[in-house]
Amino acid sequence: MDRKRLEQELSLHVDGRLPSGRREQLLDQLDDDQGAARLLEEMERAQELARSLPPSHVGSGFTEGLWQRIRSGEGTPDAVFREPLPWMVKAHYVALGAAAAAALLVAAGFVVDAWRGAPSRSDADPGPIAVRSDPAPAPIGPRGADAAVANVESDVAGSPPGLYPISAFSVAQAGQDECLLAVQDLKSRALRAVKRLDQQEVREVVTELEPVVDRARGSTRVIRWLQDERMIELPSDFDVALKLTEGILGRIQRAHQENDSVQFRVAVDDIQRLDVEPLHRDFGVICCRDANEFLTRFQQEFVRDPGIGRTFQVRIVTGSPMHGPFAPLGELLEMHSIPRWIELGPQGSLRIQAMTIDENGVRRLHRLHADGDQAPAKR
Amino acid sequence: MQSRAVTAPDPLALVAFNRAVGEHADGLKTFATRMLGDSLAAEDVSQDAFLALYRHLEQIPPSAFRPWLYRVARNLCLDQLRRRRFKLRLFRDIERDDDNPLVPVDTSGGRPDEIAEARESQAQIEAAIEKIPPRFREVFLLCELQGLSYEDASGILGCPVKTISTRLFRARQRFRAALGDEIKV
Repeated sequence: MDRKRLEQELSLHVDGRLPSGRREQLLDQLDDDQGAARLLEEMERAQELARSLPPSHVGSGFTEGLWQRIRSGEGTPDAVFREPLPWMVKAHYVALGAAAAAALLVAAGFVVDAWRGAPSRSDADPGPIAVRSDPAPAPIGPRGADAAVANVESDVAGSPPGLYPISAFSVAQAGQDECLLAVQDLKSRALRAVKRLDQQEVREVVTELEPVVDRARGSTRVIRWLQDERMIELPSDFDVALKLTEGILGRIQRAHQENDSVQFRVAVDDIQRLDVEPLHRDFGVICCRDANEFLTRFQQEFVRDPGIGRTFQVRIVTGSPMHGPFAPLGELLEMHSIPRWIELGPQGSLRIQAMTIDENGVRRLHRLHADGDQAPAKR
Repeated sequence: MQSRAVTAPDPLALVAFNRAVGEHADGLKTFATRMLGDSLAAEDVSQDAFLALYRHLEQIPPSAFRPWLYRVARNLCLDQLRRRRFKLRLFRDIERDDDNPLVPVDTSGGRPDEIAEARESQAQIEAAIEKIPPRFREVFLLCELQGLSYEDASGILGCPVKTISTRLFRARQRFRAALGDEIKV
């Protein structure tokens, strides 16, 4: 048995979690192998030391203070239900949250479009645009679709000139574009970052790349989710490129966790050699679902982890009429604020805008990709 | 933070709540202290967790109080750590100067050299725990120090039991490595 396996089994053994058959084998080994016996002693000694630490005690006014707060009617602290996730784990969910939030705006976008009689925003609007808004960003749609409409009305200066119905295909396209942009961004940033390794810790360098890695990871996740749900079919070369991208992102994550410069250098090397061309592909749509079913499934994914939407959400404004109840959308609107948007134009003219809201409530629209109404070069 | 009207909970639930305060307040504070490295903030976390429990008394059965409280405390700690991360980076050196042992060593009746030795040993153990990466450390604190079962830790951290055992094994590895000669047989 190698040392790592031995240590793992000893760890289970000291907690009494090793199955009886394995325990007997391990005890036999401990009799024969002095090294293993010494390791066990070290583990027990370490455990003893850890447990020798005296516990903290709450102060004498603890209970009284608690009851004062209870009597004053103080509510649950906000952070109580804020499930903190490791950043790469969070990234996994980001895309799902994004997609679900996108669903919210399907409804909102439709209503806005109907209200407005289709006045269109100028395609030449510059970015970033700073718009001063309320000090605290208003939660989108606490009162359901009406409030969402009001927000869309105030935050987006006009609906896109052409609107496109939400579907697995359009969301996959949005994910694809996000992925491409993020990978390209990561390529250049990673190259600059690796040069700073002489002066900075790997972890610090990688931490700086977090946002763009999150973004790439989120978009790959959305595409994979759609694939897993058998809503889209990935062309084989796209699949290969996506796997490579996921591998690179995973390596960066490990470099971050283990503060390992070698892993990071390998990841940077890989991403420089990554051919992004296959990432420009149209997807085959396996299954055409109606919008309601599609949105319901997004929502199901989304509500599994209520922490998802707090860091990243996406709006897709579309002119597709939504039938059926708005209730599930309203619930999601209540639960989350919307710090980021993606806007989908008509098919083939994907127009992406990110919206950030800083802590002072200043909203900025960042145009990431603008094709006007012309179809981008997609093969 | 939302303010809400005070409503009296069911008397039986109230008894269970009071018992939970008596039984788990110290444990929660210990856990939060070692997560945050700050005993004052840890006490606040502990109180916040009980406040949250009180507000949700009707939804949580008494048998689930303990893991629920730890889950809440963990969320609060990680939220604080995230918010403080930047500040800590900036002021790390200053804070180090101010560092005191997290928990005072019991000095009653000991000789000065024994007290000093105990302090040093405690500081070494604290430092070794601090060196464990947070995601392994939280499992270590819950299972090794607080004595929670793998299953409870799994519920608190929202990951499978297998992951708990793997993280605990890794945490123990790091802890032993950080202790170095202290545990060499």
